Amino acid sequence: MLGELEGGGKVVICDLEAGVGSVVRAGQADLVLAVAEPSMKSIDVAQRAIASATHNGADVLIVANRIREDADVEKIREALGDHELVTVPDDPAIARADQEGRAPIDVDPDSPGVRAITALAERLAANGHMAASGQPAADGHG
Amino acid sequence: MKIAVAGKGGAGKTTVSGTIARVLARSGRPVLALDADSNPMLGISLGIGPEETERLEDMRRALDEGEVDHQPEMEGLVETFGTEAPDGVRLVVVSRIDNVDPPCP
Repeated sequence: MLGELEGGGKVVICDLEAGVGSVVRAGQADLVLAVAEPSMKSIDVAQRAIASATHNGADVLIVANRIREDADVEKIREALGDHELVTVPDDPAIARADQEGRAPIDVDPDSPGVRAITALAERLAANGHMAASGQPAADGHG
Repeated sequence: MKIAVAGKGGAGKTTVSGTIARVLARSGRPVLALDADSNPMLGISLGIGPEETERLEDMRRALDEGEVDHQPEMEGLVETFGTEAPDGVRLVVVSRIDNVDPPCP
C-alpha cells in the first residue's frame, strides 16, 4: 500500500510506535533515526531499535536528545556504539511548544534544540540519506 | 527516502519527526509524515494544532478497532486519514494493525 508513496524525491517519514513497537518496525526504512535521551530505559529502547535496523540493512543515525552536558553524550555513545550521532541540546523552547500544542519550529526556530534538528534535516535534504559511516561524527561540539 | 524515527515514548521521537518533516518540505520535497505512534501527537509537532490532531487521534482509534479500513489509493488515504500540515507536509495516521504488513514506512 505504501510502496506507491516512494520515489520522485519524495520523503516518507514515520514516527514509529514508542518503545517495543519502535524496535519491531525499525528495520523497514532506508534510514532509522534512533532517538535517545540520557536515561537507561531510553538508551535500552534505542539499542534494540538499532540492532533491528542493522539486522535489516537500514542505515542508523543516533539522535542524542535533551543533552545538558558532554557526559550525557558520552553515556549514549558508549551504550549505542559506533554510529553517526547528532546532539540535540535540552531546550526549554521545545518543552514550551509541547505545552502550547504548537510546533517547535513555529514557537522558536532559532532555539538550540530546534536548530540542531533543523541542521540534521538540512543534511538529509542535501545528501538523500547519509550512509552509516562507522566513524564517530561531529556531535555539535566541534 | 524512507526515514523511520524510533525510540522510547517521551524521548523526543515526535519532535524530531515533525521538525524534520517541516524542514524537508521547505526544501521543496514532497513529504509524507506517517504517525504510527499509539499516542499520535505528530500533528502537534507539525503545527496543525490540538483540535485537528485530536480528530486524527479519533480516526486512529477507529482504525485500530476496525471500524474503518485504510483505502488503497493515496488520495483517499490522505483525504480520510490525514490532513495538510504547514509547508505542505501531508500527515496520515497509520493503524497499529496496518503496521504489521505492509510496513511503515
